[in-house]
Amino acid sequence: MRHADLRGRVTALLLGLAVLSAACVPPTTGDAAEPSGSDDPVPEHPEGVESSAAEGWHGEWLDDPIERPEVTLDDTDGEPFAIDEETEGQITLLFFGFTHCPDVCPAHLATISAALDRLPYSDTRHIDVVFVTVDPERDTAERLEEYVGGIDERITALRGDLDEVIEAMDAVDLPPPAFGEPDEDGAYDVSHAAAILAFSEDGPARLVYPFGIRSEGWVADLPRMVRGEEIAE
Amino acid sequence: MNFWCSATGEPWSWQWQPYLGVWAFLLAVLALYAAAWRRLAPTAAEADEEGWRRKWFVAGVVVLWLVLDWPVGLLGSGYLASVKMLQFLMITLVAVPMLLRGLPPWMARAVAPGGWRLRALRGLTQPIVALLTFNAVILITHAPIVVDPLQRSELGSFAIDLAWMLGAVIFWLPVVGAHPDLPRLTRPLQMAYVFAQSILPTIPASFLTFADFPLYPVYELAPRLEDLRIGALTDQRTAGLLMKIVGGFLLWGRIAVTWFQWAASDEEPVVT
Repeated sequence: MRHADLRGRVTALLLGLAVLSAACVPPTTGDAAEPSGSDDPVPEHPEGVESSAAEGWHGEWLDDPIERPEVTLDDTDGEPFAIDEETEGQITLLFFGFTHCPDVCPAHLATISAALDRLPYSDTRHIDVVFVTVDPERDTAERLEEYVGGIDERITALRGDLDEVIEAMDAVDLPPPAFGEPDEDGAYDVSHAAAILAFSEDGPARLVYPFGIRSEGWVADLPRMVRGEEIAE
Repeated sequence: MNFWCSATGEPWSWQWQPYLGVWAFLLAVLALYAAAWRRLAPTAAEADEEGWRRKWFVAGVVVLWLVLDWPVGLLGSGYLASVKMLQFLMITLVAVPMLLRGLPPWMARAVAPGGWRLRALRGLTQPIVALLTFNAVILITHAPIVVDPLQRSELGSFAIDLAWMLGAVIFWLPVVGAHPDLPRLTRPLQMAYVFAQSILPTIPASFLTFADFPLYPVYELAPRLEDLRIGALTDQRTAGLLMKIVGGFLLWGRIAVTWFQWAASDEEPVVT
């Protein structure tokens, strides 16, 4: 009898836990590709550009190829860096982000860095990774240098006036960043496109990589780009 | 309001967060234990005689609380595979044997007094079956195809932790169980049994340690901890080493304790 009593209590407690778990399940969060904390998320992909799964590639196929932006920004030494000229003839991964980004940017860059570590120099010497800050106010040249240095010194970090950065984003059909309201410490969120554009050696980007590409995916795709394999839908 | 620690994809913050499910679960365990102690003890004298077991049980619950609640639970669920491994080791190799040691024989018997429950438990705690069951639980709950979707939901994450607890109960019963109808292994066999368990996880630990790429998207793409710039692959390798080295240390610690107990006891030595 006493055992039956205890069994009843166990059942009641398990039911209670089940009810509690149902009450505690949070609402579904948004796409992980969107940096958190902003009420005004921006699309992940290039604006108005159709993309679809690319055959055998981890990135998505761009129906309309995107040319390298003819924009000159500054590198972390303060030297001018014309994106189209400096990266010409190289596989170029172009990514717009910011150093205070808590989620997408460090994960994106870390997966690329891990992939570069796995690839032979004969491949990596053909690959440029360019990171452009969309938050030039906080991302000084020193901070940018420290940030990318902490992830991978092979990454080229660029900055410029916000107008110039937006011009560069516009040139590759990416929407401009959206800035959140500063909190009491002056910190604010920046919502920005999470896509990485992959320019081929001979010019335009045929592939765009959304957030979620793992280092294994980069290791598979980058050597194929270096070999100049055809990218098809 | 959160139920159980899971991967949210949110940036890590040292801001404390309550996990009501963890508290409710542990309080329920304690409440059941207290009720069982009050209602099931055959006599007050027997209850007093086994009173020392309460400390073991409460200590086991405290260990569970430390590894399931914020921050360890959240770090392990959504940010660092190495912390998840630490959580796994503490649950399965520390907390559960403590909890089992906290059960007096008359309470253990109440869980499976006879019939199909006792038969099932007897079958599951046959040493070979128990080892296979526990290691099957380990393999399944460390498989990326299982970990990735489950850890993204609070209920899934709860299911993994619960599977670890139940698997560990089955594993430890032949060593520290107090059920009068489920006799424990002799001490030499206990040592052999625990030794076998110190070898078997080498397989999953090696996969984690020697993998060329991060195996778990949930950790590879997790927001990075600003204060701790540890790459996903390094984190995973640390997890593999923890599984092998810390897990081995805990199991060999248990073997050493058993050996000293055996040496000090009147139990017959094994003659080969």
